Amino acid sequence: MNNLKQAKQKAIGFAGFAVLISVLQLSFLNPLLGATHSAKDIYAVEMHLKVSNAPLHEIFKSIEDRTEFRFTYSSKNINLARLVTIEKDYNTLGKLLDFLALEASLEFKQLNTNILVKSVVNSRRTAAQGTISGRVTDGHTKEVLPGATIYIAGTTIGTTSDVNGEYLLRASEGEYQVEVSYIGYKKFEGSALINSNQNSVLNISLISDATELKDVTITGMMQGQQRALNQQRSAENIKNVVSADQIGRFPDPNVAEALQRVPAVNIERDQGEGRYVLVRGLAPQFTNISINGEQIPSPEAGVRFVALDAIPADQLASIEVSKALTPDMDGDAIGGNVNLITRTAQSSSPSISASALAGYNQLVGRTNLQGSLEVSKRFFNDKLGIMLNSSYYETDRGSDNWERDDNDLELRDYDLVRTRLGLSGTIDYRFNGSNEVYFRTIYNKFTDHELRRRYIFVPNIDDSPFEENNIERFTKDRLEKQMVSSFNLGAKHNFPHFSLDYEAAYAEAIQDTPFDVEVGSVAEVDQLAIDFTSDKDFPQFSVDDLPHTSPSNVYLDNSIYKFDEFVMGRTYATDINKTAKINLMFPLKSGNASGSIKLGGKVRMKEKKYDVSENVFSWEGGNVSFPGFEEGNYTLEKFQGGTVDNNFLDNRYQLRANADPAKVIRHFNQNKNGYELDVESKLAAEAIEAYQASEDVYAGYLMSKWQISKLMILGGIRYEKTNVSYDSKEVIYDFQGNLEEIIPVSGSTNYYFVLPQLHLKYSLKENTNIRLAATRSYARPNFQDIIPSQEIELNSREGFVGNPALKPVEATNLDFMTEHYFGANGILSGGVFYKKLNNFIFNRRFQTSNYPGAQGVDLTLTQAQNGEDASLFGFEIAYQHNLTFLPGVLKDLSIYANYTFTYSNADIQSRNDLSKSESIRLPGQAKNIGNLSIAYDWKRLNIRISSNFNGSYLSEVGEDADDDLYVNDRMQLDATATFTITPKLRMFTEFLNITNQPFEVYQGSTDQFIQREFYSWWTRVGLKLDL
Amino acid sequence: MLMKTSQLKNILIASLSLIFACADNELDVTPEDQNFPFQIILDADEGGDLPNAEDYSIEVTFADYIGSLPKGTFTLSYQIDNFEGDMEGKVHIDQVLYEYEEDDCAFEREINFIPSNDGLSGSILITPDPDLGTVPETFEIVLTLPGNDNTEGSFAFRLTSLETSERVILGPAIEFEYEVLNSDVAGEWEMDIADKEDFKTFKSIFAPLSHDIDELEFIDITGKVAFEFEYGEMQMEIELAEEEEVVSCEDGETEIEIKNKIIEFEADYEADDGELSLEGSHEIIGEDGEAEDEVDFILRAEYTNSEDGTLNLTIEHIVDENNFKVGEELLNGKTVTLKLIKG
Repeated sequence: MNNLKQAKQKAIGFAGFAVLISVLQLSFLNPLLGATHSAKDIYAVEMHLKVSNAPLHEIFKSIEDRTEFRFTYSSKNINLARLVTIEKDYNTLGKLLDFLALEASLEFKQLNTNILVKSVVNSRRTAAQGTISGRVTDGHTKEVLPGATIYIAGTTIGTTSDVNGEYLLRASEGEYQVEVSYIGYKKFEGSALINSNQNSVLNISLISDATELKDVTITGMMQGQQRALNQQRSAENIKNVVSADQIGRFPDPNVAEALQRVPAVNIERDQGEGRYVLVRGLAPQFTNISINGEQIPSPEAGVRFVALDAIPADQLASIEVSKALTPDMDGDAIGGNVNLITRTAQSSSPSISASALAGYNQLVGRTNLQGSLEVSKRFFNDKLGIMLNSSYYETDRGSDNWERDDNDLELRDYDLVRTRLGLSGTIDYRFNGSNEVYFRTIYNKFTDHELRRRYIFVPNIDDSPFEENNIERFTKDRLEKQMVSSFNLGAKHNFPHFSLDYEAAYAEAIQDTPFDVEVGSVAEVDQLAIDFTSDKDFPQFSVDDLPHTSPSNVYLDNSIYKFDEFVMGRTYATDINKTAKINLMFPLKSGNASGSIKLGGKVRMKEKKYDVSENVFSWEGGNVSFPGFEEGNYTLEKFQGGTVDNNFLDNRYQLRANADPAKVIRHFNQNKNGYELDVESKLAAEAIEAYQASEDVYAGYLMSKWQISKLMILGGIRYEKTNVSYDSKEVIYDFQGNLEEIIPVSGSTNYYFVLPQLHLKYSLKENTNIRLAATRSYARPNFQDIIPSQEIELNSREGFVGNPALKPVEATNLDFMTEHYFGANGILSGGVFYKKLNNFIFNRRFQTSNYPGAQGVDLTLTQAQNGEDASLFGFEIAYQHNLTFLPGVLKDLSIYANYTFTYSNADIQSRNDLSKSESIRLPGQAKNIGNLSIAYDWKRLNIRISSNFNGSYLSEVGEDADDDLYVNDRMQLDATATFTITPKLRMFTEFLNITNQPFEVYQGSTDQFIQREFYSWWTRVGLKLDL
Repeated sequence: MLMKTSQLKNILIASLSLIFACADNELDVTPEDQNFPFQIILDADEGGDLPNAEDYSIEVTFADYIGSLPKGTFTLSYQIDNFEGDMEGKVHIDQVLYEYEEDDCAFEREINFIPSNDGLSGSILITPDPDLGTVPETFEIVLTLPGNDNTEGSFAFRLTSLETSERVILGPAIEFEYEVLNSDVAGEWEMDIADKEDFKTFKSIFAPLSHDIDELEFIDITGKVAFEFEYGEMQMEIELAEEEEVVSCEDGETEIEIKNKIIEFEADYEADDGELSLEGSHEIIGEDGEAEDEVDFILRAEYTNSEDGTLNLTIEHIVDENNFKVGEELLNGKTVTLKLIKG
């Protein structure tokens, strides 16, 4: 192969020189000599030449050696490396050149003894194009290899294999040398014949370096790393890829937690589990979430972002995090785009993957259960593929938590059961190598059944005669179900001269809270004192002068708590996306540069709706009777129940049985005449929160990609227009604080964006890339901000109002990244990024009297508004390496580390002087985030210790800087051990949150905690089978 | 955070038990809170009047509801009992009435009721009003009382059952206790503000508790202030010099009167053994002249009844939610005496 390269380089060098001489000759000498020297007609020149798979430059040289003719051409425009076979004896030079012209898409013109050669690729492309397609697989495991680089040798014509390992190359008719490279595998070289207007199939099996060199068992984890690195290397844009196998390296049961390992990604947690994803320090609404390239709607009512703990990680083939958008991607992502790619059947051999796990949560002392089964197979000569995947995860967990609200102390004991059911299926039919149809579906159901028991200590700190020292008790029993499903039906067609794909998609997200019951009771005590300062980690309190640690403290006597209220809430939120899109791609070639032009259009219709039902009941019926108790006051001991946490916050605080909602509901059902419905609060709550909105998006784009030697240029423009309409309600309270009026409101707005995008990728070496991107993008406002519902309280002169005129945040993004791959062993990458955000959205307080419902008085309203600018700068560095260069046993170590620094600055209206502005950090932006994971492979055992660091970030902007809420630094330590029993069977165990890291929130400064929530550790052990 | 042996054992046992476990995502008992029924309640659970009162009205109403009132009929049963003092045999329903309003004119309409022979129980038949299309939202049960100056005692009135095919039930407040007012302060009283000094004294008490009073000048008033201590509630009316035309319309007859304007002030009160406390709330008025907050207040006083029929109130202490700390009270450290004359 090296000989071929050298020959090619020599030929190109020679050809360049020849062109120069020829041009000089044609320009200056021939006019002078033309009168005295006339060459023969080429059809009169005898020529007998037969070659097999010879490059053009050799054929030209043979002709020049045998005749007086010289070829004149531009090596930039003629593919001299093109292989041509001349089997027939054409007898004359003219006939031979006619054959070559047809064979190699060339045009020859005789000028005396010069033969001018021109490429006719562009003008005659339709007559001579063909395609090669196929699949790149591991020759040993038969697993598909996404991200492989496939090139026609000596040209810039190349492509990469997709997530299914499939590729397609276009070239003019002829036989070519095809080269395939894949990190961790030996380079493949082979010949392929392209026939005009036909597709040739070339399936490629690669041989792993490791298989050959080390004779060791290649684990799925190793393959996962290779796949991810290859996809990342060959990606057109700045992207991180997490393959399914790679997810398995870390103890991450859901998608959000899998993503926390990606550079520049951090997550927000709920009950210790990852939920929302923040890319490059931007809040979740700045990142869009897609399944198979199509945005998924959010099941939550007010927002667009998706809680990724609803999706089991084992439903996916891979996760891609694009940090710079290309024009063919939705433009409404400033932080990035997270694309979840589901699986597809790959082989005609049945593939079965199964896993079974059991776990234990130390805090609640109960077990977890997880299982998955995936079956896939291709039928009818690989034409029909069917993949079915199911998984179920049930986790019993909890948390112990204290919170501070001004002078009040709250103790919260959570006990919850979460389940995740994932079902996905893909049916695809490949008519041939060029045409396929597919149907993909995924259904995820996440349930979160939460029991929350609270003590709230409300001291009468001023000793006001109008207030009491109260202790409130609440038990909440709430089930929340999130269902996210999507159905994608589409087709792909590859023709010799263009590609066409189109898809119709339906995605639905539902958040159903069928019950949200809370029972409250309250007691008055004589003395109540809370001390937040002596021990800022765990506040102290006393009741009636007895310390809280005293077992005889009165707050532990349930008979002092009188029933206060019973709340029954239900909510139902739906978000439906109906999408249709089409993409067209035309290959182009100009000289040695090959490229493509791509255009497409998309329509997405969104319907979002939120319905609320909230009934608050008080008891007005006098004495009550409960089984086992004499008739008497409606006090807590009569309706207490459930489990009691006897080790709350490591036994720092004592708890007693709290209200059992079932007992209260039973009493309610039997004694409705004693309960009174708070109609005003019901009407207000339901009116303020409920809304209905539709959002139609029309998008189109045009982009072109060119590979010029080692430089890839991708640029284009995207246009997106959005029409929004909505219905909601205004709620107005009168000067006495009573509900005065509920007014239906409806309206609409629209906006559009033109988004230019440019990406450059330069391959310094085969394993070293430099990338630059300059992109424009935007982030739509959350529905809760644009829906013009409003709550005006005339008595307090305050109100919250929606802002239908709110514009999306616009961003200009600059990215520079460089990456070097250590073969299959890892990657070192680093880069800087800068984002300039315009129309940044923040909650603005302003005074007005000219507002509907204001009745002429000056109101201070809070409204999300577009404000001043914000900017974000950062750098990220990632290092991932199997340290095989180390001596002895150390060579089995591997390291996975990344660190991201971000700095942001947002100008908002000053909270102290409404006429001025002040600077804050962007909410959600953590200055420092990172991962460090060290693994050791000892024979078939892999042990990994992983730590994830999430720096502190602003979570809520307060009324002034001292009221700002920050989530504190948090570093979680996890451990995983995997034992490969056989290549198809692995046993693994995981320990998470080993050091019991709490979730902490502080107000203003780090010495004032207002929340500390502990989850303890949890573990899982299981088997994974791959047949 | 090392795992103990017992925890390992727990893990093992729990793991085995989990095999057949599944998440329980149902409530043990489903609340029947949807379409919560209409409730018929009494507007108050206790009340009373002076010994010589000849009748007393108890208001029956629908508790706060959503939607349209029922269009069908329903029958309410009632009972009068728990008689004490002079009440037995002298209390019965005189009539059941409701008001229908049309074109700013009130029309009083009667509701049929069927008393038992002794008048101590019976049933009230509520039918839809032809003009409203529904049953009335509120109606009054007018009870006949002994009406003697020396009447003492109490009784109870209760709704005992409700029969209807409509989605209506009896609510929680269905018992009413009537008690003859025998407090030393009960009844009507008057105070005469004769000069600016009296007015200044009066304002020093009530101006902090009423924006309207705070804005008054001596010239604005006639000097006549009426107090009425009803059952648990005190009402004060300050007569203004300014007059107004009051138009009223009852049963189709319109009456126009010229009356002095009044400013009202209300508070709950407790009076016992010479000590009187008033509790209520007052509005804090913003710079724009509209209420911006409503805060509770407490007024403590001592009272004495003189033989000449006067009531002397000595006010000692006034605080509200914003002004209760020592030194910040609305009135403390001095006393103000008001002299009320039996009305």
